[in-house]
Amino acid sequence: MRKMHALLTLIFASLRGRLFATTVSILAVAVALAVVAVTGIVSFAIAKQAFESGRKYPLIVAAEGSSETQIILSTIFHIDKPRGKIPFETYETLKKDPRVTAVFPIAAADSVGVFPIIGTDGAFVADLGVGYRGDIALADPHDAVLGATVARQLLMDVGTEFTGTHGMGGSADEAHEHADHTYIVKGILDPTGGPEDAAVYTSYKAVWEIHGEKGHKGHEGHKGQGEEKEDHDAHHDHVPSVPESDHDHDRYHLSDGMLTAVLARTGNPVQVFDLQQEYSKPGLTAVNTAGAVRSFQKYFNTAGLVATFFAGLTLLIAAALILAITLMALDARRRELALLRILGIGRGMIAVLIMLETLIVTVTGVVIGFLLGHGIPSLFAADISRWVGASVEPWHIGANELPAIIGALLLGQAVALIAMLRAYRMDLVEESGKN
Amino acid sequence: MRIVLQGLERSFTDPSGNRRRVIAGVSADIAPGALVAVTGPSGAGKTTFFNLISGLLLPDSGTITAGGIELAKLSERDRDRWRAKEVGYIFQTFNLLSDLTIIDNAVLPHILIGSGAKGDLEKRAEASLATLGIGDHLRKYPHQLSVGQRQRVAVARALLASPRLIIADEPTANLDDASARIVADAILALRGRSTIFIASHDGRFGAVKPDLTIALGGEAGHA
Repeated sequence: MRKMHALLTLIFASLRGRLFATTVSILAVAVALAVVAVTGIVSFAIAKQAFESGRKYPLIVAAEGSSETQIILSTIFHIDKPRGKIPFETYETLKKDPRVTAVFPIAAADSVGVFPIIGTDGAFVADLGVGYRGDIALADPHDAVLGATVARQLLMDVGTEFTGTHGMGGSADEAHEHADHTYIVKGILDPTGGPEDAAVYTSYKAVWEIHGEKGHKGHEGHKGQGEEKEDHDAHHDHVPSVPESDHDHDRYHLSDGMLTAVLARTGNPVQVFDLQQEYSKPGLTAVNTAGAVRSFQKYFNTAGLVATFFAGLTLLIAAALILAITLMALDARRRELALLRILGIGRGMIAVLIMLETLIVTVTGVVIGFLLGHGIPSLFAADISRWVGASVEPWHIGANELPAIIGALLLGQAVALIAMLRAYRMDLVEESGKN
Repeated sequence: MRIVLQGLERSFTDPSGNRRRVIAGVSADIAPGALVAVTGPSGAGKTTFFNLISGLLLPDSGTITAGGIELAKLSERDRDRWRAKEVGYIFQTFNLLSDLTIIDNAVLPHILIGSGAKGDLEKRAEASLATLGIGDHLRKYPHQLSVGQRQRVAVARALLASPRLIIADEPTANLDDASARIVADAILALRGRSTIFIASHDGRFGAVKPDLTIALGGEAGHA
């Protein structure tokens, strides 16, 4: 015990003596593992959110020309722009379909600050199953329900009035304020950590009012940024069921009778497949959410694998760095190690000393990497959740994390063994003759 | 500790590949507590000789018997243990571990080799360091001390476990007068209790008549 204490004193003194090299080595391991941890946390959160949404809304009908991933991102996570419009009659037809147990309209076109305004109905907000205060019925086109993050960041409460900005997180050039349509905050949702935290829900009728003929007469209601006078032709809706052009400004103009998507729930999964076939027709794309989520997960798994590959590469570089630093330090410390030998400390103990030094660096890097990889997401869980549009679980251990930790420890052990062998074979007696 | 050297020889291969005999036919019978002066010009093999009698190196031929133990018959591990227990080694320079404090430099190696309990060793080290005039520098690091002060720490460490064999290789070289006097006095004070081998050009040691002189320099030394 006394010997181990003395050995550790010697080791920590030595590590402290080359603080910069020690810090760099530890950080290299820590950063690599933190990347793996954060990737795992984010991938898991997104996959979980997509899976749950897939269960809740097994069918999404959107405009033709959008990819399934795009539709999921814009409709479920509110983090991509909708790529076109579909007629309102799609919603009405689905609503009348006996196979459909619930159906919700989505008309996303505007934003307030960085948060998207989702035109829908009170039934959809109620269907989110989130606690709230105030009123979430969206009975009037001026009513709005805010997600918890929106209310907190924009300092809004029930009764606050605000106006929307045209477009969804677009550039200032394409944005303009819908000053003629004032929303009143009627309800505020409790925080969930999910995409609803960062969304503003209004009636789809409000979106029509703003973007329809009433709202877009010669652009009168717009306080444009860099577009005081603009040809209003661009704001006229396209032929229903035809995908929008790539010009974002056109894309977000939803006049009466247009939506960006419809979410539907059915009695059983087979009916989802039937409906998907029926609604995959010119102008429309029907997404079987469960199937899309699987490919979506594949996408994220691939992204996760790529991130893990680079983290693995970083780990290898870290291991090489630690080995190089340890071997250089060994050479630099030949005289001190020779002194220990002369004082009667055996080769074996010197080898153990070097091995423990290397292991301590690796293990410290692993521990710090774990704490960074989970601690930072824990501290900024709300921000990360808003950023990825899904509730993150900061202490979730991703599938690649444990192998990465074991890999780091094995690499550290391998480096330690190499250093130990080198130390064991060093002819330190020769050093004693050098004065 | 009685040391018996018989026909000691040791050669090295120099960088050009030639075999060079450094120690040639050294024989001596040294009584316990004797003061032995090891002399010879630079490169005569004094350090090699010290490494042989401390068990760090083995002779090519001949024997070294220390306290009745023939060193060549011990395993490397046992020689390490023997050296840790019996030998106090003082060099000209590079005596201390730069990352350890003065008190840790004096004590830690002894704990690692199992020479005693930490508390007891620390008490003895503090007393010894105070005697050598560096009692106020226990928590400092070697780079914060003068060369002379560092050498005094090395002496304190070497003498801490009351070794029966003391090897001092130019222990006062490069020291200021005050430090050299303190170091020399500390080493010579052990004469009679420990067998002391000393190689030094310092007049302080020259003024003291050794019990034996071993002259190295390619010629066989003898008592």
